[in-house]
Amino acid sequence: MAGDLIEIVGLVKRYGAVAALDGVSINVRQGEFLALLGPSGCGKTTLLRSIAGFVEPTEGQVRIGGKVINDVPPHERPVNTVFQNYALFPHMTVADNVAFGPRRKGTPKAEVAKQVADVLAMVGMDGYGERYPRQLSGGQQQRIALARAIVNQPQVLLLDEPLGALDLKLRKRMQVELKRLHGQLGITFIYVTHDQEEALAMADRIAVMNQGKIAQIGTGQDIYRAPNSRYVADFIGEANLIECTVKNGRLDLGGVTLPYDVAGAGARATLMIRPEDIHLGAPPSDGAPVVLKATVRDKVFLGSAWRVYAALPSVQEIAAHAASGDAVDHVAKGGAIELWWPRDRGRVLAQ
Amino acid sequence: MRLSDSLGRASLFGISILALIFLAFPLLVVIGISFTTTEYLRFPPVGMTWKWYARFFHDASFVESLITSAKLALSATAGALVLGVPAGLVLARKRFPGRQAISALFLSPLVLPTIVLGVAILQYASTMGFARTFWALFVGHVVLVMPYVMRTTLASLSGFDVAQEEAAQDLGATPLKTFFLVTLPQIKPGVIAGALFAFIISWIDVEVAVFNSTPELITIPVKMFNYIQFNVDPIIAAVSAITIYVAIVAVLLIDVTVGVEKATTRRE
Amino acid sequence: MRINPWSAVLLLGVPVAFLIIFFIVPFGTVAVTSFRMPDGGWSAANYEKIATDAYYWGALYLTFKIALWVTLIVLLVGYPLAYTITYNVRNPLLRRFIYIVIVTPLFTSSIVRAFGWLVLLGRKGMVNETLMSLELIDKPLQILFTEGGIVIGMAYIMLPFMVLTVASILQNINTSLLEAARDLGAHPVVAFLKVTFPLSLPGVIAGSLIVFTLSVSAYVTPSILSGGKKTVMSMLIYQQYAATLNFPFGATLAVALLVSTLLLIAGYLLVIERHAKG
Repeated sequence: MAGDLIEIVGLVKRYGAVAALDGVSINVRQGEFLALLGPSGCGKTTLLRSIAGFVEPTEGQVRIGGKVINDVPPHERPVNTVFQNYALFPHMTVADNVAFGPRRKGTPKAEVAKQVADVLAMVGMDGYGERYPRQLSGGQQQRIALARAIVNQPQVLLLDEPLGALDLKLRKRMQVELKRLHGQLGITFIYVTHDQEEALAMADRIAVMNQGKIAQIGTGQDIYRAPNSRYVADFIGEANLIECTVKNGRLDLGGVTLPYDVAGAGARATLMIRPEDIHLGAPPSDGAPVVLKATVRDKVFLGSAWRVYAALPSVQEIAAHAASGDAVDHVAKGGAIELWWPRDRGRVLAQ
Repeated sequence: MRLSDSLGRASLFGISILALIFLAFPLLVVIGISFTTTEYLRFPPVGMTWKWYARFFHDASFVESLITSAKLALSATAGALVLGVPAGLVLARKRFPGRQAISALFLSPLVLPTIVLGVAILQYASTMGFARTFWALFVGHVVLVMPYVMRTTLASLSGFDVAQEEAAQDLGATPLKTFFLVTLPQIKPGVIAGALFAFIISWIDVEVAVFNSTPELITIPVKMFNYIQFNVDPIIAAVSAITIYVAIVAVLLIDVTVGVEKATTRRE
Repeated sequence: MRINPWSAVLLLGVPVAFLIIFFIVPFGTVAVTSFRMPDGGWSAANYEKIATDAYYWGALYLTFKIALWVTLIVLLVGYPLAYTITYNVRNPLLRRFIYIVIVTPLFTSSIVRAFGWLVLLGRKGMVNETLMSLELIDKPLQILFTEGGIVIGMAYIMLPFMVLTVASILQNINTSLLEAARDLGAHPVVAFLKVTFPLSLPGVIAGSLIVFTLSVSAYVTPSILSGGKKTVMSMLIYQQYAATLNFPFGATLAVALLVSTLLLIAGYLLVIERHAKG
């Protein structure tokens, strides 16, 4: 796509026989917040590091603003990185850390001081300039790492699991702040994380990676509602993956025909349904819901809802989230229940 | 069981204290003798005098060899630093075939007999026409002390967070700037400790220097070694005591830079 | 850090070249010279001379005998000291002081240290005078210029190496393992024999290798403390190079020392490996 800020074309990185990146192509728009999501070893960090310039790709191109930058050394690239463990220079004060980038560009002294003060204010750390990194808490160090990167006004900000070392509460707060900062600055963010909730909460688009490839790319809603594979469905959110066979062009679950058309008789197929889409009790008469009979195996209280584990006719287990109410209150272990979900919430995945 | 416990502990402490005395005592003896008023070696010393130190400093040949030793130790240390630190940097940061072999090469002078290095340098320098010159001493000592610089440099680099170097480059610093602004300031204690080790190893060496000295070009340990074969008087105790003082200063310097314990027991 | 390949070649190439020119080539020169004859020809006659003359076998034997005794004594004294400072000295100041006491001799010329023993071990030295005043002996012992004297002096020189090597391993042993052993009912001695000592073996092996190789090649200490009455290999090498000026034969002795040392070490490591496997 012309006009995209970053174009990555057929990127491959091999370490010996192992391919850390196996043909990755992806475009990132100016000002976009893109999350690279996947388990450790999926190649997301390698991809980020090839954009930063720390990994030399074996094949393919990295282009920024239409210019191929494969051979541009890291210090000449218009990108900055927030490192996983911040990589603050311990022998320098906060102000010197932040001023490191501007000084390399030969910015005049007074101007550097002003930029440092501004950016520290922006991340809510004004007044901390004379401290050393070791005197700061993890969250504060995180802000300084952010300030140190954005003070250079990069075209792209690369973030390598920047919140990974923080506790849950702080992480949630920083997510909001990062998102706000992204809006303020208008800089393109590429954000590596293995935390799907974080990716869903922050990113405009998510690229789910697996074994050096991009498994699926799209908005959080797209990927959550319409995963294109078992891998993606399983990785993002919770999913019931029901193994079915195909009979007469329809899904078949232990003799019960489900109203989903599938090509290829005799093949196996997986039906995905999110637990929160499954309801207990009598199905509504309109909307053609899918109804199944099941036996309750267990019932767990989650606070906002109940989770009910039920055995399907095919001996498989299914989980449903049910809001507290009459239907779930009467459910008991071993009891027979009826489950239903709107037809369009079920999704057939290719094997 | 209690009794055997405390017995075992007591004997452990006993051996340890005796071992420490065993380590310190000969040095204290030498320092003690250097103050004796007698004309012969005597411990415990009789009286207290500085005359042996005065005699030493009035003997031009002793002072000259002291200067030779200092010059040699300083230049060999500088040479080892200039060669060893960049090499250590590449060995620690680059992955390439033969890396292990090259590391081993840098550390190998540590395990080969020093006396063989001494004769090797003598023979080589004779063939090349610089036998018994300062240059022969210099190259021999650079080889001799290089492993000490290398070891501490590699150890401090391996404990160093590579992400910091990446961060510096990410923020626009060239590799050279990165090294001087970010890496060197942080590995400095290790490098200083290595340099002090290197200095002292050169400073106390006999085995390499003895083959490459002349009556005019002679280091203080070789001078003492020659002197001791023919004369035994408290002057030699004074010279020895001076080298012990240098050793103590070096140890204390290492202790304040990285800590003696860390510098001597850290493994690569 | 991304170092560009050309700078890497330069940064590493210059030091490697230096070592090749001033370390590898000189050692090679020694090896080559050992086959050189006075008439300019080549032969292994020098090696034959060493192999067939009992005098050289005697020197080699004495060299290794002394080195073995030194290694053994240093291990027996050094291990407890390393153990004590690692586990039983909690006060950081005391600990620092002890390390300074251990390292300072290491930083002192072996001449100075041998000189100290020369004074202590002499017929009228402090050791003899003390023993006589305690009436343990009635006439001074001849310690100096004997094998025993050389062993004492060398053990003194080598002790810091053993202590530091063993201590560096002991430091890395997870103390919770010891606590686990105690928790499971092991007597402290049993815990030591079953847990600490086996785990510290790498330090013992490394320490004894360092001490042994350094002892084999030590020149200053034996030559001062032997008073010329005992001859080890390093002294023979020195004679050939500095007095007789017979470089080829000196080279042969050096190579013989080097090779036999390496063989002994290889044998030692082989035995250990067998033991570890069996």
